[in-house]
Amino acid sequence: MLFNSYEFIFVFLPITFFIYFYLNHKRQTEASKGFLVFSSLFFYSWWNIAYLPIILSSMLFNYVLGTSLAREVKDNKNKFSKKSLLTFGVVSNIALLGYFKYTDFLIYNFNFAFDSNIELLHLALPLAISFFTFQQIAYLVDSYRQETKEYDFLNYAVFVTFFPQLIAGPIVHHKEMMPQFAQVKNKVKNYKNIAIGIFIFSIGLFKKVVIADTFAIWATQGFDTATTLNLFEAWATSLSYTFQLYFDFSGYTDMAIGLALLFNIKLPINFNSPYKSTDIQDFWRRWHITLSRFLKDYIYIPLGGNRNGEFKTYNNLMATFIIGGIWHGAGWTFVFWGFLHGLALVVHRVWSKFGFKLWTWLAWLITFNFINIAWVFFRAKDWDDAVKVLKGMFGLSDIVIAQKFEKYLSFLNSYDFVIFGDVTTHIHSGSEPIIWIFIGFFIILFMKNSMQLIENFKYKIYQIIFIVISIWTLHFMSISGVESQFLYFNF
Amino acid sequence: MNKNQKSKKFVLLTIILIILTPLLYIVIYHQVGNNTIEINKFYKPFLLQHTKNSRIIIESGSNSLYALDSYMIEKEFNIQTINLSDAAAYPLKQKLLRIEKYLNKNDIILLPLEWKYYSRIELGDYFKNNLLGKLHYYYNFNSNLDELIQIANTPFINFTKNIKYKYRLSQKQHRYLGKNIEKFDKNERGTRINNKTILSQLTMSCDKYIFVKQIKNGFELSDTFKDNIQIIKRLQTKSKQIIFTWPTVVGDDCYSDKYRLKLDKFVIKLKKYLDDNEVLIIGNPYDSKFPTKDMADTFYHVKPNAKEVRTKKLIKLIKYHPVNKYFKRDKLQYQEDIKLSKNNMLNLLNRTCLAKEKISFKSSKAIFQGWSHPEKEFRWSLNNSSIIYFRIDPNNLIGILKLNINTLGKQNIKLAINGYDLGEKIVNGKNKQLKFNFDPTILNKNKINIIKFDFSNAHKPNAEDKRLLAMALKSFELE
Repeated sequence: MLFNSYEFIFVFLPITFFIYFYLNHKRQTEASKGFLVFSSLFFYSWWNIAYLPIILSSMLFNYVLGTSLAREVKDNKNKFSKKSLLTFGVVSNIALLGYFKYTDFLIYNFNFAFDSNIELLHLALPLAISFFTFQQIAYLVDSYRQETKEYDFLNYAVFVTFFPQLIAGPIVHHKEMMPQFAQVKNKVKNYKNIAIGIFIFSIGLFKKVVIADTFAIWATQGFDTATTLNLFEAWATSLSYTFQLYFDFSGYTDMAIGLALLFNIKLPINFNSPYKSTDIQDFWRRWHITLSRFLKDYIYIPLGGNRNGEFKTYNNLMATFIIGGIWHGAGWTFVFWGFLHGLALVVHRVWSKFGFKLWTWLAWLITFNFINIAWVFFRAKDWDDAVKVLKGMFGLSDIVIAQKFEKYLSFLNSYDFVIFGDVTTHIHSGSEPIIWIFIGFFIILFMKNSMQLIENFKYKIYQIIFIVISIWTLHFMSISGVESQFLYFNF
Repeated sequence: MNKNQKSKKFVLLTIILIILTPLLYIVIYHQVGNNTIEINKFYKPFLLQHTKNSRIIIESGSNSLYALDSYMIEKEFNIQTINLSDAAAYPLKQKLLRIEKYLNKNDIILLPLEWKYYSRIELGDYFKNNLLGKLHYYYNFNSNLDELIQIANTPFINFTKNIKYKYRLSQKQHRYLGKNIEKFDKNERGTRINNKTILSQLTMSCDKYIFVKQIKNGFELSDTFKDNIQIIKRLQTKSKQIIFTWPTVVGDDCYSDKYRLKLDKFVIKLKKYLDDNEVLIIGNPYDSKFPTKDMADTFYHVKPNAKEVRTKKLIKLIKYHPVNKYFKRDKLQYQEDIKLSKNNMLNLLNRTCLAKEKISFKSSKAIFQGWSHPEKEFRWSLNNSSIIYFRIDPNNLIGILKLNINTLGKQNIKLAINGYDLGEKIVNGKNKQLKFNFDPTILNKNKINIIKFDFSNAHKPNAEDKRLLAMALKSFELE
């Protein structure tokens, strides 16, 4: 069940909402939590009930381990045992994720390196496994650090399965969620939260269905269908994906934040206008903030962070981002994407150390273009696709100029690589991508982000109209009436 | 109002509007969908809507579009015959409901259905997405629930495109009247000629092509078909006779041994089912099977020579079957039917010309018949005779007809209004104005008036242009 499906919006959500608050109203707190867990697991199982045992056993395993870790601290037993327990927990979680996500990748590379012929397992990736695994690793570490306080399984189950953030985050900490579920005032319907929640949800829905799904057409054509791309098509393809990914994922996050708010739960902000960044460090403070937080707290700092000199810091940065890359997907293109970002952070660090400064617009231009080019590796199914797009972007394929300009620029006919004709033949779209790319830039650069939009919520009629249009957007926009999946569900 | 009240009001209003929006959508959709365009751009629905009295209505997929010559059947039985067959992808239910809307008591319905119609069929996206627009003439439903399901399945973006399309059609509807009447006069009855050659990409066998649903789901009578039989039984009470027959298939490998046994069993089952429901079926499938040499572009499309053979076979089948009692009609009755239909079509011209009003060569206030296509400034007369139909109130007229014309060389232009001869003039050159005097009482106030031109010297303008031209009309006016 997707957030942008009618069965979710008109059936699942209202039923869950009303029963949850009804049970709370009747002071059946435990039952309301139990119902929320049940609903969340139902929501999860809608895709494929076969994945249910995986998430249940993962939850049980981590709960038992987390409780043991916390108890050991309380009992003040020997530290070696506590550390081993944590190591065992983290390794087990990574092993589970690794089995489903990376086995085929490893076999493929093994076969390639040793010329062997081991058959691939073709395992289906259980939905949300990357997110609930990371969330639970964080829980184990937090328990180890004595930062968790709730030790009741039902509460733990609510923390892991809470449906607004279950599938693709934001990745939350136990300590920031559980006190909210415990607060008495949060067990009562709050119309302010409902109003703002619906509004943020509708912003997310609009971002996903209207903007991201529109850019998806050209991104898919350019990356997956076209065999060659001219200069304009290649840029249209890469920018389309850059915008698609942002509006898709931030749209999903907005929906998650809005939904959680209906239940009086405030999820952490995950995006803060990332494409306004003027350096790469700034970008990672604004993009997928909860993942960045996780990578920093549970990988970069444990590796030593910046505590052991410059060279070690660079190594730690590279390692963190390569892990971040491979977390997104089992493929060398993801590794390379992580490597590029790690490298960019190292370069930025060196640059800052020397005290160099750039004009803001130039800094933005370089940062945005770097991000855009790096996304090419992130999106491409293989190296050939990435090379195809990059070749086009850097003018190594033909440069096609619209036929109507031939009369003004006929002198360019003497260059073999310049062709006058249809600019967007390979992505079948006419002038639409140009208009949409302008719209994309306008939104990311000049408009407030969803969190800023709700800062002084005014309860205006235009906001209601926007909500209504967004809710019915799926019907308004869709040709087939079938909703499309979110990109981050694949990671 | 405090913040909590404001929030509560905001939430309630939002919920109310979320619920009301689709209701409003349903109401508008229903209104637009059920709004019939009187003069249809598309000739087949136009024929169905405006032909009168006795008719044979052929309905099926494209097999019959190319395989049954409706005018040959019309001449044989002296009954107007219209071939509504189009794409087999469009559901039979919608085809039957369309017929029902314009069915006469004297109509005979002939159903040489494609095999797929006996199986379960889901509505294709193209059909669903265009039902309000390009396929608006199929917008008929058996129940409100069916209509509601269709509405719910139409994305708003298609709805807006469809509305725009239908609005334009309704605005321009008078433009199509002349063309459609001309087709009717030329005895076009919906059949098409297919001279295409076999598609090179046609790699599957005939049976796989024609039995695509049966191979997938088994040779069964589906619930979809059984539901349609209920509509057919209803149509039977409103018409003279409904007759099933077999689709025309073409290809040496059609009905191969591999499927023959299954097909024969299925045919028996189908006949029994139709018998039980008192619906007539005539012939056998093998009568309408043709060899590959007669194939146009698919296994359901025959070339023109096979069309003639198929049509003759069907005529013979009807003639020697007890059902022929419904096909007995004499030539005089037939001519009356044609006249009635034509008058009915002409009466659709509901715009009235004013005295001294310049009516241009492409005005929708007149119907131009026997004229070439409109060009930038005029339209040429075609062959030796051309007609203009129009309405006018003769009360304020003194009786002058003015024509602004060019001629192709020297031309004798003979003119008559409503059969009254106004004389003949010899004209030569460009930008000429002709005046003819007449007695205004020869004009009909509430009926259509006719100006008939005769050109004894019409000829080809040059070797390349095969048309016989005489006069280029720019405008006419009556005083």
